[in-house]
Amino acid sequence: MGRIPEHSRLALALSVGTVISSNIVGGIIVGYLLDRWLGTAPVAITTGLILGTIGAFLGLYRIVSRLN
Amino acid sequence: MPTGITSNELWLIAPELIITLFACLALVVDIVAGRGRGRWTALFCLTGIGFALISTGILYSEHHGSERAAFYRMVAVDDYAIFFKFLFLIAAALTILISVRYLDVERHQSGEFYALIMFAVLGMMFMASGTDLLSLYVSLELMAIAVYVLVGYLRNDRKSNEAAIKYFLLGAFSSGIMLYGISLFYGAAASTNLSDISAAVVELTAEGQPMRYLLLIALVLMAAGMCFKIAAVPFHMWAPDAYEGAPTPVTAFMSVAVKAASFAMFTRIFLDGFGAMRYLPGGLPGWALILGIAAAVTITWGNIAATTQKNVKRLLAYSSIGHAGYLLLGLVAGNRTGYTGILIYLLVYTFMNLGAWTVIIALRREGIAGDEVEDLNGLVHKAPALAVFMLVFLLALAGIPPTAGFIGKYYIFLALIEAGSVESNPWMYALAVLAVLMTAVAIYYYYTIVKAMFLTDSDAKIAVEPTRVQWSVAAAAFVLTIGMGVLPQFFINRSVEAARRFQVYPQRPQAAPTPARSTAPQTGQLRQRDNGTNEN
Repeated sequence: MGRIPEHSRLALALSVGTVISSNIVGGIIVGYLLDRWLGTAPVAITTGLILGTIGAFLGLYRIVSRLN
Repeated sequence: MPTGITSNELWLIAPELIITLFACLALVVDIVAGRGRGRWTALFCLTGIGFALISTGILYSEHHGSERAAFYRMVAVDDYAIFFKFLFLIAAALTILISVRYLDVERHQSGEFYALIMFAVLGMMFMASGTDLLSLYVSLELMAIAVYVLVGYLRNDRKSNEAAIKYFLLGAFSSGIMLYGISLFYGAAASTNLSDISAAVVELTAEGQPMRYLLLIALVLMAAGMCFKIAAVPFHMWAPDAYEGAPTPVTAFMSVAVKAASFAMFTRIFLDGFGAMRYLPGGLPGWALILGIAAAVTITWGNIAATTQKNVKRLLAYSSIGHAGYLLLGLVAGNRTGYTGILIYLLVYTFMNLGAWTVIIALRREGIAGDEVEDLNGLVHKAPALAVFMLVFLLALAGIPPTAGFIGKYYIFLALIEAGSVESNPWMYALAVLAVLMTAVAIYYYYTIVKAMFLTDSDAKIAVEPTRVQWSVAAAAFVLTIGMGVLPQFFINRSVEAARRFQVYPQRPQAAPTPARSTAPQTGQLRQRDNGTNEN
């Protein structure tokens, strides 16, 4: 892997917050809407939260791996 | 309750106070002794650990079988806490012993290393005795921050830096997730004390209570945070990278003491605080199911991924992920055998794993990293004793009798089978079968190391010369690994004693067994069987 220039490394680091929050919030919103649609509360919202957290973790791991 | 802090309370945390004192003074000793005299600091820290061990022993003889709360129920001294304090102190002492030569070879000999280990141990000791989510969280961070620094200790080594930054960022993320769970629990139960939470949770999760969904989400967040700390799938990817990049003694310390401390906290929180949420009424999944799935995936993934590794540090990292899965099973089984199993497993794991790492560290010498499987080639000709030790540690890690590893696995599997028959829960049996199958996979990848040591010839001519200290640590671990396997009764008694404080949380009568709703592919079979019996 070639060296990433300084400014884009900074941009990558700044995206950490977005990646974490968008994954978790996205998971919860999708879960909430599914629950409302199917009337399965709280199955989908909990699953959405779990998947969102895992997604955020994976996203963070990807960013950190590229930073180095 | 008396106001203020009494001297009696201070006496209860005497071991921690001793460690604090010695850790702070170690930094001064480091400066006074001068550059490159890290050995003096190491010796000083070992003295401190010795004193702490003695005072823990005194506390054990004084408060044996009782539980003393102190500092407004922030910490408690009971057999469980004391069991773990012994474990951490011994693990830290062994880590310091095996670090001295390693740091010489790496030319990074300095006293902060030992002081950081002391601070990490301080955090661990409070993690084992904390009875409040706040005190537990603060001690977890005290340990974690010290370990982040230790992972990146080899400043000039790119891998070490990379490992530290990965571990730090992902660790901070998981702490945040867990803190969010803690705040939700505080919001619902109006207290951060584990016993208050456990009383509140029973009512709040009853059917028809609006708060139960909130608590379920809080539980999921707590479980995610804790799963990161013990490196359970899907929060495990930091482990191989951090283990590979960290200085090897730190890797040994992380895979043994940090894991044990995280489990001490995990078990305490989930049994003392959220015990009633093991099964939730009204079709909600409790933590037995959530952790059961996590354990199944962790065991499968950890063991299968280990088979493809060429680097011993990564191989042992994946195997330690697998071991975390086995330990989780003790919690999932949720009976006394399971609780005892977690403790005895952690105890034997400490010695067999530290032993294996000591052998790897002894291979590190000028010009040779010693952490590839190939570096072990023909070890039996170069250092027969080390090769035999390593063989026994690997047999123990695979869980083969008469080594100690068998005792740990035996208790965990027994607990699952008991849980399966008492609660008539067929997926407990399925978990046990999966765990045994994965043990067979584990034997395969441990065999690759054995094959390298005994059956492959080496072309490298550099001799392996373990120092006397390394040799003694490996020998001590060897004796304990065999000893605990042959005469386990003493250690089993201590574990039973320590686990006695936890209650058993059976299924609540009105609740139907909850079918799995996760998408984890490995548990598809378990799910089908579960549904099948529900219909019967």
